[in-house]
Amino acid sequence: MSRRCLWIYVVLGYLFLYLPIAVLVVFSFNASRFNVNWEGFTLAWYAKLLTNANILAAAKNSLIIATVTTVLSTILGTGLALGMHRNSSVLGRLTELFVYVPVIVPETVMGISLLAFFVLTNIELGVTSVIISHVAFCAPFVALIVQARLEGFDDSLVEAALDLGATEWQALFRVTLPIAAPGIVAGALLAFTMSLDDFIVTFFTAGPGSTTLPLYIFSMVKFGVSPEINALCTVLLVVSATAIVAYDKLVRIRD
Amino acid sequence: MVKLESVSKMFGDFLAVDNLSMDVAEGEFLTLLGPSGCGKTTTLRLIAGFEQPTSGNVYIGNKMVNDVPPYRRDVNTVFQNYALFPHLTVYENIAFGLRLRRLDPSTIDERVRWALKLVKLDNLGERKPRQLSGGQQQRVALARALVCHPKVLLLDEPLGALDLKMRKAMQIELKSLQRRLGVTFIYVTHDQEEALAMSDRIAVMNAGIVHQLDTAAAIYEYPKTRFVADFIGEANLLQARVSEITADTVWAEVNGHRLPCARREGLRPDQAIWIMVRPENIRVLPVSSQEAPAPSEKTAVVKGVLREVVYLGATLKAITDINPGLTITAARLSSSSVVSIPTDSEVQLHWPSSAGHILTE
Ligand SMILES: Nc1ncnc2c1ncn2[C@@H]1O[C@H](COP(=O)(O)OP(=O)(O)OP(=O)(O)O)[C@@H](O)[C@H]1O
Ligand SMILES: [Mg+2]
Repeated sequence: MSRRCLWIYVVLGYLFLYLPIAVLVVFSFNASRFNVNWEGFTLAWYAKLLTNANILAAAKNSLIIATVTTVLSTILGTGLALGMHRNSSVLGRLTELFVYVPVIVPETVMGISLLAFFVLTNIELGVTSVIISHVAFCAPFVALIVQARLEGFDDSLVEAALDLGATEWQALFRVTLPIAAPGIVAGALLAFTMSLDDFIVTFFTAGPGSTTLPLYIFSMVKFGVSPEINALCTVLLVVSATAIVAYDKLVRIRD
Repeated sequence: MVKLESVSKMFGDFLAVDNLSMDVAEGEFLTLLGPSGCGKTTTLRLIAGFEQPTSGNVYIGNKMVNDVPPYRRDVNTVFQNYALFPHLTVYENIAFGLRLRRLDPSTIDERVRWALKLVKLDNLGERKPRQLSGGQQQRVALARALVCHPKVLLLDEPLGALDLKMRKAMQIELKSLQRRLGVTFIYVTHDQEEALAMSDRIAVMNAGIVHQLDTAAAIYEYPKTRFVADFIGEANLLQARVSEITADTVWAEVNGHRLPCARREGLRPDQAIWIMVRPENIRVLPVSSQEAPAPSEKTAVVKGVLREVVYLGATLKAITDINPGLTITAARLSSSSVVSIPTDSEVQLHWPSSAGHILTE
């Protein structure tokens, strides 16, 4: 294939991927009420977001859920990764298999099974059930990222710490975790964006009063895509994109 | 200072250390020497506390430490790969052990600076380990261990990753450091020259067993087993049989030659033995030479054919066939008269009977 064809191919590919997003972002600044033609630049839709009580409530839910999910799944995922790293026995490999399952299972299946679980255990649907569900699919991702970070970890560093007088816990906090830190922070960022953006699992496990931004946007879209939604989506996009760029930087850190 | 009492270590059903006993004195430089896989690292790890003995006891400073975790043992280790903490500066690497002891900051600073000076790295405290050369990393590992003032320092092939020149220089530095500080060193290497150059005593190991624990000179001159004779320096090992025992000589028979050897207790006539003769004790002369001594109780003489003379710089090796299947190597200074003997000519080899050392195992 000639160089020229390749370039056209690449440009078309990127257009396909990013044109819809670009349209959304552009129209969020459009003075017109309709997503048809451009009638001048405005920040009015962004200002309007701040006065919409429903949106603010959904944003609050989303932030609370994403923050708590991030903390819990980071702790849980890091623990899993440390366990898998230290234990290469049958138990360790079995754990690794189980960690992969939530990553592979379709989200719909995950959502329905979690819903069934909450019904069975009589857990009321609400912020708590959403957080539990988000942790269930975020923690494995954190575990896999931290595990990748620990891949080249030299176990003699822990022995060196013990040798110098550190207890197992001190060695963990002064050597293992600081060295794994970029992976842990990257995992946390990924968990945050996944929780913030999640629709399907949340859809199944949310209850009254636990509407998140993606759920709210979905309900608004039923009445047509308004510039307000464009503005809201742009905000979400910026938050996620920032987190993902930071994540990418962290994953590449050596030492 | 450190005592191992019939210590064995099994990994599954593999015996890595076999009934090992040794007693290391305070301030001693003891080397564990042996080929790869003989159990040197395992022995160090048993002392450091990273492995538990399957049977037997480990003592440090008269205290049995079988159940004491590594962080409460008064020993520090210089690891084979240095194991420096990559996320900490050189300074913080060295301060690591002191911070855990919760010493006050000024004491820590003072001791870290002392350690940096000790290993001549005064200016590199702010660097990260990966910004250092191999030799510098090795010094940091040493400083990090010594700054804790351990009673015993364990060193696992600390110079293994350095080039020859650097190695030689560090050997001398390490030895003088050990003398100056009076710390007990237990040092692991598979380099016999290094062991001979540095140690007060050497434990020669093979397949989990200590064959001999003795001073360098004793190990070189009076090896106890064929393995030791062969592993340390070069040796001619001749399979033999005791033919006669007199007041101060043992006569041994090797392929039809009767050779006098140094007297040794506990031998009986007709016993199967080996004679070890170091190449540097053997002289080579043309058969017709006037200087040649007559065979006697004091001198062993054998005739053979000079096959090859190999030049090695300061010395040369003369390889002589005695009988089919029996070759003796002599090492002489390059200035010796051996160079003037044509190869494939008949020669006579002789050595003082005291240089013939008898081995029974
Ligand atoms: N954790 C372990 N599990 C099973 N076998 C082991 C383990 N550690 C060591 N071994 C075995 O024990 C034997 C002695 O190992 P060790 O590391 O002590 O050898 P070494 O003398 O230090 O060798 P080298 O000079 O190559 O470092 C080897 O055969 C090794 O394979
Ligand atoms: Mg080793």
